[in-house]
Amino acid sequence: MKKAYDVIIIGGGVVGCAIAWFLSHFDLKILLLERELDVCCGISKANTGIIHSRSYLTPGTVKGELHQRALSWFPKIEKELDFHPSVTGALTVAFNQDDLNYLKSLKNIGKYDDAEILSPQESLLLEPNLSDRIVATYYDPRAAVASPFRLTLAFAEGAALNGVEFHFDSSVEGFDHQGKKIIVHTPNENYEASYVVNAAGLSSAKIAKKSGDQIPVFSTFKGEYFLLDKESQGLVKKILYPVPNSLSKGILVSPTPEGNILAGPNFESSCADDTSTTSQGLNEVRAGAQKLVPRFPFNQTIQIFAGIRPTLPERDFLIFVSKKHPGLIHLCGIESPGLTASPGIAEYVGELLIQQGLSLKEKDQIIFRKAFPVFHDCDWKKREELIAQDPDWGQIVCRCEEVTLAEVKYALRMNPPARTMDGLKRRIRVTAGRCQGSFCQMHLPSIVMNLLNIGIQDLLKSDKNSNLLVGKTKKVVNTHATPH
Amino acid sequence: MGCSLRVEKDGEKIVVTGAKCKRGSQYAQDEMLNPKRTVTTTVVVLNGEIRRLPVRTKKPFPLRRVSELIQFLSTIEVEAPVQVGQVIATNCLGEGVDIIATRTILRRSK
Amino acid sequence: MPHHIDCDVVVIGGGPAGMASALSAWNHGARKIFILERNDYLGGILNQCIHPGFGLQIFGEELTGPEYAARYIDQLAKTSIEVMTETTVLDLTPNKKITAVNPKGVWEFYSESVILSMGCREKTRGMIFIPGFRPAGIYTAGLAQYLVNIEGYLPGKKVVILGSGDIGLIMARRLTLEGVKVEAVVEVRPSLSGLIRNYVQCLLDFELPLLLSHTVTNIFGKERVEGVEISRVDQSWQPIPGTERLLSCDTLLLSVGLLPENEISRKAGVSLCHFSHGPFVDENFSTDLDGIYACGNVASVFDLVDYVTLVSQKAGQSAAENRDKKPIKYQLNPGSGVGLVIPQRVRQVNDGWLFIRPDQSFRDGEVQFRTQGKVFDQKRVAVCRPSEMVRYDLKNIHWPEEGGEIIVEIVGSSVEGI
Repeated sequence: MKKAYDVIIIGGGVVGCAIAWFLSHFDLKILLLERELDVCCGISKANTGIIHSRSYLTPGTVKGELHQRALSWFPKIEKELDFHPSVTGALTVAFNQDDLNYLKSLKNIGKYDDAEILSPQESLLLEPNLSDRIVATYYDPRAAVASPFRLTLAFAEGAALNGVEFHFDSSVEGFDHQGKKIIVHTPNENYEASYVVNAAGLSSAKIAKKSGDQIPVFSTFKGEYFLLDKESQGLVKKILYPVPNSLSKGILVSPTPEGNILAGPNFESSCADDTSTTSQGLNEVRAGAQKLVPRFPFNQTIQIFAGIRPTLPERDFLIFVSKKHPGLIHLCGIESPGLTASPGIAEYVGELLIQQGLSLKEKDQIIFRKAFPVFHDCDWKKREELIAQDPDWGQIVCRCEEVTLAEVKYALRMNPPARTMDGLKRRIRVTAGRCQGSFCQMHLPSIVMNLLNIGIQDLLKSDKNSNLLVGKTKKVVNTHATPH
Repeated sequence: MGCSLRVEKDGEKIVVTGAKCKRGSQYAQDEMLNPKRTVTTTVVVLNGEIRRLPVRTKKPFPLRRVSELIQFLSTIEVEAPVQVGQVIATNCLGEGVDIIATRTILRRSK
Repeated sequence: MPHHIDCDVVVIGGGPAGMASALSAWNHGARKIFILERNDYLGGILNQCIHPGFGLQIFGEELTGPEYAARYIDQLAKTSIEVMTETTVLDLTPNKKITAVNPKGVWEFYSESVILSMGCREKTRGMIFIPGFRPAGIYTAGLAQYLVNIEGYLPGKKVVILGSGDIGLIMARRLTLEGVKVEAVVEVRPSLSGLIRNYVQCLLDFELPLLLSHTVTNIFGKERVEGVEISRVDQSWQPIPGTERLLSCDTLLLSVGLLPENEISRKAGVSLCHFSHGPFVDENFSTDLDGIYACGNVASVFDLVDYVTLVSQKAGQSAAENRDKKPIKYQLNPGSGVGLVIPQRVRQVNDGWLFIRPDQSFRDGEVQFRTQGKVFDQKRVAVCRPSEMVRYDLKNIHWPEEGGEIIVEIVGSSVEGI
């Protein structure tokens, strides 16, 4: 017996989860299928985390339009999902006359009253660590940063609270059409839906091919990053952008919502599944970061990582109805500003579904998501209250990020739950601090295995074969100690 | 810390030079003929505050039989509580060396 | 309301430094003493150091880590020093107010003296910029040691160890005894970082290869480590193109350096020294803030726990007596051949020690003490290595009459190979 749904969403990145949340406002049976073991494992996992609260994009592009639409969604996201970007402001930095012309064009396109072009002196007053070789900056006070994990999880949690089912480890292997229905095949199960949305990110072209659709060839480009210790908080307080080139927004230096500093990304050709950092790529990011902040403290680096973006030749989003089945919608080429545009994309997908015959009847009541308390962010009074309610709040499990056992238990129980160490990292920050797990990984393996009632073979870092441990001691084989 | 020894085999004899004390000389001879090591490892401990008990050989043990010793120790299980210094096994592999616990582990409270 | 505790001495961290300093404070008359320990038990890092090499100087015996810790745990039981386990200190103000949490709530300590003894943490992959993937199977050596020795878990089946310092060598042996294949120990320097005795008993005994002047330049494997690329390096530790080689393994163990853990010290505003990575301390292990002392690995990484005990005893005594401090007479800085000196500030030289860590291996060396460009004392040292601190009694150094900046240097022939 196949399970039947109104809509199946393929892909648990920020876009898939945004679509799930959007649709969960309506009376629909919705399923989200994700091939990995958690949401936010693909493109959404590694990117710059900028909420472009202002649009400077060319009108007439899909990304431009959907970005604009998305901006009006953020108040609702704050209210219903308890998700709040951190407004930092941004400086786009000019080093020469050409750059300055670009800044002037920004001012003209934007026409925002509170955004202005600043002199070098004014810029350096705002950002003392900025290079003194600048000729001007364009200051937009409303730019914001957000954790891509937090946003994806907020959408996912909100969707789950309002009835969306999440099935993980469910790679889509093929489609069948049965009249108006689509049958979706995964290794474990077959599902039936009236509508299917392909939001599979880097795999969207592969999925589209399985339905017989043709997607224009898209290229994948890697971007590498340095993440600095929270000790460098204050190095810059705003997002610093170079003037973009034809390929990308360039290598920027930005504060993160948690208090770290991020530098990156560069733009290099790569395979879709290659998220390795390279010496060459890191050197490019170094040079870019040092151009903006000459004394960038690389010795404060706690982690280096890379993300992939899919780019179509036109560098625009491609969202279209399948030629093979009227109920199938494909999304492709969702690169920057995909994170910000996600609610706008969700709304647009909703419109396409209506156009294709889906009836969207608003639910009477929506459950609002309340973010679970973060011990680190609580004041001492709140911390005391939490410990009094539940002693697990008094047991610090991650020293660097001040994460407690209570938060570990929540992350393993919530919907969608963490089932891997990286899943815990995305939800509660363990292993994301300066010691990169050297402390918390001492105790967390046992804690997680006990709470989930699993054995060593099921304790994973991220994917199915990412076992953290291989066994127990005391099964000694072939030790060979020789006199020399 | 320590000194540098020179050890030469002169026919059947072993000649040690550079030792700062008699112990050094003896050590050098042993290293050539029958090297010994203090072996440390863990054994399974049941119903304790933690799951592994660190242990050591009370005296140095022949290097050439360390594999066997380790194999033997991997079959031992100790019941908590156990005191630091407590003898876990005597005269291991007939070499006249005992294994002792190096940590006190109390019984796990329910 | 948080629990409010007034006391004489609070010791942050219950490892060897914390235990020795608390006992010393007790022996010098302090009575209301608390040790705050985040783990379930005392002993700190000693609990996982199950190998011998501890206590030769203090006890005249070669003990394992847990045995050394047991000596102090026993002594503590004979006092009424209060030990609070499962308790994590989250804040320390310049006024010495400590805020800590445990499952029983929030605790505020108002103490005459505070002793910082939080130990150190390990350098990680990101800090040394090894490119590649981020699979499961990358462990720092200390974490692996904990998992193997305390939890009884095996981190992998086939390991490459980066770093030939003592932790890396010890883990090479430990893993081999647990049936794990150690492919190689890879060392960026041209000479062994750790003790020769550990090279013999951890690598030679088991025929494990040591690759000097090499480093790891890439990590392969998307989900779990599948191999690492190693490359030969030049004198500036830069990889030489064309020398890359692949070592197949499922685990990379990093033994690439320790960092004193001074997050709490920073919150208090204690001045930190850039070469020791810990607070500036004087010969009594006082920091620059009144009533705050630092001892053990939080002040600087020590290699002998015996030295940790000695300096912690000084700190404990200082904390109990809380005397007015004489002005600083000498400020010590490392020069050529020296990685760090501790203490960095000397007020009086009648008592106490100076510890010097070489930044490379030397043969036929000489430690030179300079002031105003001139050498005022020198001491022969036949062999010295980064892994072994050199120690002098302060009173055995012929200090200049006038105070000021002192540079400590080591000259000698550099050592290649083991």
